[in-house]
Amino acid sequence: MNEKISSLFDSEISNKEVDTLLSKKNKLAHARSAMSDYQLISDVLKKKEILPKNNLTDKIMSAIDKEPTQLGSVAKVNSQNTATVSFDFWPVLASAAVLVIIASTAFNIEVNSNASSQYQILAKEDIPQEIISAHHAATANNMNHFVQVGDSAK
Amino acid sequence: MNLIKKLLTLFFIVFSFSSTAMEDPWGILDLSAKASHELNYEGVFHSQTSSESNSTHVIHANIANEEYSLLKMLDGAPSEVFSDGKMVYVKSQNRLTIKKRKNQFLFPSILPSDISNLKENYHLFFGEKKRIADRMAQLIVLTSKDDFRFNYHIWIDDKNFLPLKLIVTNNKNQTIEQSTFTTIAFNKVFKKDIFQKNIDLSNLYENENRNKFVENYVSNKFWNLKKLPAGFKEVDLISRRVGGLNILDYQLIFSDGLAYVSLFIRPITRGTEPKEGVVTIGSTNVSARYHDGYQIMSVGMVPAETVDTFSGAIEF
Repeated sequence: MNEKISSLFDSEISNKEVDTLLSKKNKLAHARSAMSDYQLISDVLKKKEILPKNNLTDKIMSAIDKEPTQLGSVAKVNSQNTATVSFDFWPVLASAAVLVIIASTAFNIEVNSNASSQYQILAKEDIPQEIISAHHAATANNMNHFVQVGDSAK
Repeated sequence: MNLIKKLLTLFFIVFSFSSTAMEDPWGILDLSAKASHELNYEGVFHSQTSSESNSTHVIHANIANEEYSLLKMLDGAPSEVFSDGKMVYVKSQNRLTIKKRKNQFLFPSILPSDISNLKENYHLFFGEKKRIADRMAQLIVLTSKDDFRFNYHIWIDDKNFLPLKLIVTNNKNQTIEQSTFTTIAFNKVFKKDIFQKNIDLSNLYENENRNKFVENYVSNKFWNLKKLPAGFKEVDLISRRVGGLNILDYQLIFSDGLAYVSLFIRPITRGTEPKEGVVTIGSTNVSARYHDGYQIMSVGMVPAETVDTFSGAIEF
């Protein structure tokens, strides 16, 4: 389906197929969404003027939120600048957002390098079970601990 | 004639034991460490921690200088542990997991092969002899020279030096955990296949567990350690991929020969608040510190002060 929608914007399909596609588009929610996305990509590539949709800023902000950050650094997201950026930069930003989404999906990194020096007092329930299991797996001389490690590995 | 033979044998055993103890009292620990690896035995031991107590059937054999052991839990959910001296296989509810250990130290193999580090960190005392699992055993007490470790009470078989009982106590002489044989028999002959008959290693290992076992070589140690508790040396370093993420966490393992501490260095993931403090879970103390984007956690059956010192020792 997506391939056909893409072909539609590249003018690579016949009129009959266009009718079929538009008919299916109205019935299927994901087809409507895909159509909208391909429209946007097509417009960007053809350097058409694009009127930003209401949720585009949100999408970009969300993508920036998901951006991988370097360990140990103090990176800050400047949401004000992003929201008031010049209109001409939308195609560039849209491309950047796509890249960011691809990168964040590919590397799947979610490190909270901005964790402040504020901390909470450690409670028993804060201690990950995998830490206790990993410790016992490597060091325990008591059978009870060791078999629990096997259980927790399930 | 038979009686003379028996008397001579008894004299020889008693003489060799007392001469070992007299020449170097620490020598008995060397003998005990060797016995736990070399002897063939079968028995049942009882283990107790603050939260659980269980009985375990154990078979141990040394076949052509290869060490094999099979431990089967007799209480609770059926579980078995098989070790061929290099790897440890845990079978629990028909699921097999594989653990690699640099040393095998499940009870009764609790003593290190090199006891020199113990001499530096513990005082050794000979206690009274008493009967354990219908055998006479000599009590050896190792008390900590400082506040960084607990005390170990080990009853060693009077004839063959195998540890028959272990009690770990804290500095208030409260029992932290213990293991003791209730029955044991020596000099049985075992064949290799009895250790493997219940565990089909080939299939499970190839298909299910190979990818689960991760031990990465760590080439980039980006941390330094300062002021570790005396006597603890790094004995292992393991890195693991944090579930679903393309980042690693690290487990450094330290030991003084009897006590073990794991020091975890974990990147803090988005949405997780850093934690600091010390918590006791059963016989294990856990200390947490936050350091420059990383959650540091130390875990060990050692005093709280020890794990807290480890957590504070990390610097980047």
